[in-house]
Amino acid sequence: MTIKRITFVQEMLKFMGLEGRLHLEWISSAEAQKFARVVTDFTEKITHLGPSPIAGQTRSISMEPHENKRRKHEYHKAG
Amino acid sequence: MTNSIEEFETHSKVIFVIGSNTTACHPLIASRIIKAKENGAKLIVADPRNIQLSRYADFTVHQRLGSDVALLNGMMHIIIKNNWHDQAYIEQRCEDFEQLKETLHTYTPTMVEAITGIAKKDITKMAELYATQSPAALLYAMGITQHTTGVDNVKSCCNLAMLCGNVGVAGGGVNPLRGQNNVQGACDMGGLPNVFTGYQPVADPKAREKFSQAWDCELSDTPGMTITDMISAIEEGKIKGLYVIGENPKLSDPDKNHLDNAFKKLDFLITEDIFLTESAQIADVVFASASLGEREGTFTNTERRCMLTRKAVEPVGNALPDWEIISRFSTALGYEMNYDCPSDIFNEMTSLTKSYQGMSYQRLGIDGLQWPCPTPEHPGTPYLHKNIFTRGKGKFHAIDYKDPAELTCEDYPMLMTTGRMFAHFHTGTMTRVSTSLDSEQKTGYVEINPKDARRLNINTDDMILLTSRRGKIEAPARITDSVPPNNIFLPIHFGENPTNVLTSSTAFDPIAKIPEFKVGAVKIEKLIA
Amino acid sequence: MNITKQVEQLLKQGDVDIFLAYRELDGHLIPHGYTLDNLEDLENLKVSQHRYSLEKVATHLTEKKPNLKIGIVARDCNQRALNLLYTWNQLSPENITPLMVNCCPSQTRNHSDCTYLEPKKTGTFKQKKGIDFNENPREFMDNNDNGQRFSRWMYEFSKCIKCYGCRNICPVCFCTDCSLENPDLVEPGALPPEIPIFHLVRATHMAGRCIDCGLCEDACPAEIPLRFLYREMNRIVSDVFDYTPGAGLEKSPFTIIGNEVTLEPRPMDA
Repeated sequence: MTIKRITFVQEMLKFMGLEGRLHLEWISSAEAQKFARVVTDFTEKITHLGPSPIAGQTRSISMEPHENKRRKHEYHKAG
Repeated sequence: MTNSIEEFETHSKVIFVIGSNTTACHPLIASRIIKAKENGAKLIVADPRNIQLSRYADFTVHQRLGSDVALLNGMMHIIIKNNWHDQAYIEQRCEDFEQLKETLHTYTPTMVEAITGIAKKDITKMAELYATQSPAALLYAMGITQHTTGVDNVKSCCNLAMLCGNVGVAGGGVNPLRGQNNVQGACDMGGLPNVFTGYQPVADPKAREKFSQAWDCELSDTPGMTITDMISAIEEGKIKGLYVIGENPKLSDPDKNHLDNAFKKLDFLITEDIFLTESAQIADVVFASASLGEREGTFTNTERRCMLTRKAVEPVGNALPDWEIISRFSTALGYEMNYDCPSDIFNEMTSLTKSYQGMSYQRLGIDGLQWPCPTPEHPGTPYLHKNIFTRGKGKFHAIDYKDPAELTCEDYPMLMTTGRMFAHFHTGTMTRVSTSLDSEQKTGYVEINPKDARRLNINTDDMILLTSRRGKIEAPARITDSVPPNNIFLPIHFGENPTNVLTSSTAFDPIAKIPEFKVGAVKIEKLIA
Repeated sequence: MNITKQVEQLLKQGDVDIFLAYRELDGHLIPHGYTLDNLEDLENLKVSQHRYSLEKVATHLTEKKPNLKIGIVARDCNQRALNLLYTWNQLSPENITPLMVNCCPSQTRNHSDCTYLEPKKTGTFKQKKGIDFNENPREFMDNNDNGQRFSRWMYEFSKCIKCYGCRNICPVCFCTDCSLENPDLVEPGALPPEIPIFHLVRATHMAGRCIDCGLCEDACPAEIPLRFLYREMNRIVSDVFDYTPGAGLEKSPFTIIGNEVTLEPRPMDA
């Protein structure tokens, strides 16, 4: 069931233009090396993709912990 | 509205929205605007705040609070200078253009930039966008009217629209978005101190005679009082009793402390409402009135469309429809009112009111009719002032910019503006009792720009103490760039954070008597828990 | 036999307590419940291209009176909704009598096999910034890269005025606690609502449930292509779970976390 559900969410995110940010991998508790490798690879991938475009998009800004992540609106100031 | 809502979508080439947070306050009109935009119309949004609608605008500006006259004058200055105005229309249909032109002469982009905070080039672009395509519709709401210069602001909007030949054409016009489903109807029905139905002045002997005859009584030729005047009259002991129908002045009127004091001086207060509002709680007598769906009648909406509302269920408890309460009350006072049903009243009204004369319950159906509708065959009027203005010639008013009553100073260094949010309606009488709407927004709040929040070390939901010359309130902070730096925004819906403690009752428009809810000076401090 | 006669017969024979259909009032069709008490209203019963989620009315009525026998004038989409509601135990087939009517004259939307309304026209600005109502989801995927898709959806969602029209009209939205009103999922009090979360939460809930009637898209005052979105959700569900909501009385694969748990908890020592 998990695999079906995750596939669904992956497909949905792809349709939304948020592809590649969700990954499912079966790792047994005995596979420490595989775990390390998958996590390292995925971290690298996500770092490469950069911050999610959704992050802080519409939640009212809280000053911390991620100050200023939201798309900022500049008030033109003249005079 | 001079024009119809539908026309924004079907006819307008340009839509200019000023002083209206349309998606929150008039969402269905906003959806028409967005559809029009998607179908190729140009959209200009001018609002001190960064509102949702501005995301779709071809051009957005944030004028300083209360600087609308300067902005509109500045646009007109540029339009005339570039010859973008409609000379033929002005000559044929308008008067006093020379006076306007002379006043506008001084509103150079440099001067307007200094007052409004909008860059010169932006004012020019905006003027060009509005003036070079037609028809252009101008829409405004309380952001234009709730100022000491409310009347000036409205007249300036009219000046701009006439200057470009946009009044009296489909898809153009000057369109105030009325705040409630029947506020247009209430005005049409003479719910103003100086007129009978259909704006027939009480001072006009002919109108007075007509109504005296119909109602078989003597009628005064002196206009009554506006609500602003009533409060001071209560203070001075000139008014002893007050009868409030469907309103909640304890939350909606400016300077709450002052109003509370005045109300204490009343000998007798009656309120008539569907719920026990803050005002009803202090009343001597409360008349429970039937709500929508429990009564029959008509509403006239913002586009002058008179529509039937039907009764679906019997009123709860001993509540009565408003017309019946008033009829019984009047009869008890000695003037007999005998009506069998609302349509009797409607027919009496239409027989005395030219703009409604052709309407009847039967004709209204589901779609209603837009006034003027003078005869039973008349299809109604989608837009006003076609070919000729109601007064004959369209009059230009030469208007100079005036500062709002309060500007920032050392003691009150921030500007406050008040308004609505999407989930609640006015004083919340009808919306705060709804579970879904309550779950959207449970309490009041104050919107603060991130720059100010950082400066004052304020985080989201920190309690803030707001102080004006009138009083103090507390509200949790919401940090957002929908307000510009040095400005704060407060919604008016919440009795536990009564925004109108802060607003002024002495700052109002000299003609319309509308209070300046949109600008006030305040001080904000973080409360240490 | 014409439909008026059929309804009259159903009511008179006691086969149904109430029949949900439409009534003509001042040139408009509005939903109406016909009962023995208002048989004279039957002369205003009319069937046309107007639609409303009558199944939703039936669900609400059943909540109050579980044994009420309800007749419904039904097109294909209504029947799909009824099937879905049966499988989710919101209505029971023995209490419902659908009276099938023909679908409206076929003027199919490109992205739909429903025979309702003419295809919506998509304005130039919407085509440029947002999503064309009539685009095929596959073309949408081919013609737009990841970033373009995201910005197009965000444009559409940002128009939302949080009216809940999509949810309120939806014949298969019946939860008592709606996730859209859960402050942990969607921050309340903001306009537009938190995007894209608000719309994705709803899209997720439509997966395996949406019967593609298109009422949400018709109800949306912001012209968000909701049907386009939910159809794609169902395409995925069909591929991944091999399930088409409303097609028959087969249980939804999603009920596994719903009101019916078929898995046994594993023993601790396993």
